[in-house]
Amino acid sequence: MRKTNKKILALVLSAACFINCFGLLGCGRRNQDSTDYTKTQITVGIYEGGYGSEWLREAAAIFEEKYKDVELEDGKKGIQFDIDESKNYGGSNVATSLNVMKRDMYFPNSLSAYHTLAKSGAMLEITDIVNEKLTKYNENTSILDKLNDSHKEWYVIENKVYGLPQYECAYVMSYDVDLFYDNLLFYAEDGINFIKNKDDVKSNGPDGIKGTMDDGLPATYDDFFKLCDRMKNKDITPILWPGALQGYINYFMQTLFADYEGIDGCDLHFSFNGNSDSIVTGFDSSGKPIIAKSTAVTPETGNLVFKQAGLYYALKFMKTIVEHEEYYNYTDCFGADLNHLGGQEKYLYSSLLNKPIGMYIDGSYWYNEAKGAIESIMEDPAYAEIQKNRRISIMPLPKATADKVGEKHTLYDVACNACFIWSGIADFKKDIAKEFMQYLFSNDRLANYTKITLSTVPYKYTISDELLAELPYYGQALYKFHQESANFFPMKRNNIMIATPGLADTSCFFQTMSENAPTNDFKNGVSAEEFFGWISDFYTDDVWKKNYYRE
Amino acid sequence: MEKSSFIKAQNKKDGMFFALMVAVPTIQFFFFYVGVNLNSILLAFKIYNDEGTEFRVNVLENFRKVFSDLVNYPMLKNAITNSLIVAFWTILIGISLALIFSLYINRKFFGSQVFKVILFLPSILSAIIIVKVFTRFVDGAIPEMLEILFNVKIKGLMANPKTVWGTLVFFNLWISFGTPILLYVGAMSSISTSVLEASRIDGASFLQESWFITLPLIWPTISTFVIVGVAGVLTNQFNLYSFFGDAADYRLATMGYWLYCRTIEAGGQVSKYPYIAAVGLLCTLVTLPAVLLVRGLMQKIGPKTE
Repeated sequence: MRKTNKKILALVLSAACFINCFGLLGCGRRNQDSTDYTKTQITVGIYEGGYGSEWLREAAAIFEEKYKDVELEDGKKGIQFDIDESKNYGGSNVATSLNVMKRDMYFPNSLSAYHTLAKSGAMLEITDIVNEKLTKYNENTSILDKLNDSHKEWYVIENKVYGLPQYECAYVMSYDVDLFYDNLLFYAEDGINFIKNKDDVKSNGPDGIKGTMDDGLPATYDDFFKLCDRMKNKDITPILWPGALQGYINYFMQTLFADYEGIDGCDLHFSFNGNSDSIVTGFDSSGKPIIAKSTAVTPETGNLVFKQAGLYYALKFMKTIVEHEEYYNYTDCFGADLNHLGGQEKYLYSSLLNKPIGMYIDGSYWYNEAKGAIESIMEDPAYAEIQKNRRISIMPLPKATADKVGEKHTLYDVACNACFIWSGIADFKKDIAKEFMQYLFSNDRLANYTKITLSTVPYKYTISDELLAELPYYGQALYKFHQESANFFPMKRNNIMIATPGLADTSCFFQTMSENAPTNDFKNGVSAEEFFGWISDFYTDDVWKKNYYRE
Repeated sequence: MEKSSFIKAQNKKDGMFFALMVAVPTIQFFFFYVGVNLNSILLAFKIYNDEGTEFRVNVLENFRKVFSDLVNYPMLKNAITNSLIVAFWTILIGISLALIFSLYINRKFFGSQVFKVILFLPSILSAIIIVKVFTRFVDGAIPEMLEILFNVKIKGLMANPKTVWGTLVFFNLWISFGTPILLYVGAMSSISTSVLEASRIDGASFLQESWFITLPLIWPTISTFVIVGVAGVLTNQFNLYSFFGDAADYRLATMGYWLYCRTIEAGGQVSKYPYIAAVGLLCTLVTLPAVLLVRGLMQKIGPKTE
């Protein structure tokens, strides 16, 4: 009896340990009930979240129909995409677990290790399909022709391509158009006063051009804060951002930086090679930055880029907001409670509940992410009609100084991502996978991607007026903004960036000895000038040469 | 003879059965615990190329960087200081409070069952749920209640830099009570009632009984928690990541939080891991003798049951 008890105990204990092994079975295919084994399976891993997978599934369904008669394997006709949507396909997971996951195609949310994976041979080369003119899709351009110039340097490695960016993302300020009209918050034609009636002619806005989407919006930082004061006087909370995600403000400051510096200044910041007209050498007695004209920057003196005026003005903008606590709700914007979904919901409900908030800072994808909140609003009969006709738009950013008014808007694309085909894919599936990859980047598919995800892509593409009319106002505004702006992508292929791709991240962008996010220091009384100085103090000549410089 | 060879055969069978049963979990243990930790130790002595595809062995380079950063980075010094302060709160104050609550619950004083539930609740609910509810309460409900009841406007306790530290300490203390109280009360209930009755007959008060009888008898349990607490000093995140993600004010950061954020930031870039592994190894080298010292001290200074 005792021996039997011992055996039972041993069995139970071993089973308890063994159960852990079942965790390994978590990898692999999903939805096995819907698998059609008469068709060749193409396995796909896509990150769960963000832009979702609806756009991919729609494209896959069309592609499956198109190739329903293809025979790639003996006894099988047609293809089926086995799409596994999971948070396991986050960038860092994919980078380290590719050979374990063994999916044919990957769509991770991010992939800063693109070069590493490409050089290790884990990605299938797709140069042929990227260079081929898309005549089969009635286009005269190739995918590479369409790809933003700013992106080409990163994605083309020694004339070869291994992956393609599937989305772009900048952190933007959105505003409630109806709220602005109802409360006469647009600038009038003279650019100094506000409109007195909804039909009044509006100012040209920051780009200085009449008839663009920034008409009536503040042209300079000073105009912006004047607008905030006006909102406050009308019991409108000017700004909201999700306090639990202070990192969003860092991304937003990168957009402010890019808008000041423009494509050339941004290029310099990450190429560390060229001439800058915006290096700050000090501050005058009134606190204005003293800017040196034509400073040469080389890889060896690359740390000079951390003195670019765009960086200072971005910090200055946020510092001014932070120190004016009347511009925002302190607990919402600095507490740990309000996350991105909470922030989106709060903003969308704010004017409906008569506690209006004027502007909201989040990623450009936020409206798609707020689907749940929008659906809740639509289910409420009191708000459904209002929401249907609601106009939430992107606010092209004001310029730091009056002399910058008239310059094109520049977005800072923080999305370092790449979709790719695994090099271990079976030979007989290679061509069809490439074909599918090419299809995804046809103009029609890119347009549909924007329609479904309400996000734009870093390619030159067009959306027909009919399709555009199907998008909510925000989606139309985002597309328009994409067309009117320059898009800067920070990942560059010089040795410094390859060694430390993190230089494009906000952690390095605003790196100081304290490693603190700027807003955390701002709310503790640190000035923008001080913080700007700390960044330079961190990137000293010695530190740069020792830790970052590469020949 | 026949019987002994039968017993031998039976023992052999038993042995084989046992070996087969534990073979899989043992292999799993060696791969996923020993192997992984060994790899982490070895990482500390490697330098990878920028692409993370090749490495060379360099015994001192990573440690040199760590020591240099300790001198130059206020963030690291701050994190270590915060870890020690957190250790003071969680080990000294936390264990003391847990003992007081346990004594109260063990003696079944008024409201002891309510205490039991409130103090044990965080241990059975998901940490993220507790964090979200707590944040909603201190950042939302408390300011609103104060405004409605007393017309006083305050910032949320987590939002306000002046109150965030105290709020975090309170939270971490509160959620740390569950398991210790369970074990302390369990240990206290195993004390022979005759001993306790005898002490009461002799006129011992509650405090005397607790100090001279209960605490000495549960000293091994107390020691365990102290030792485990010391072992976790440099890995305790203080729940900062649950509250703030990777954007907590550096003034709040602990060593555990700093390590965690650095690992996330590495984002799969293998070349970043050796430095982090070196920091981890140094933490172990500091913590291990501390744990042994504390263990020795607890055994030496601990009250004797006789």
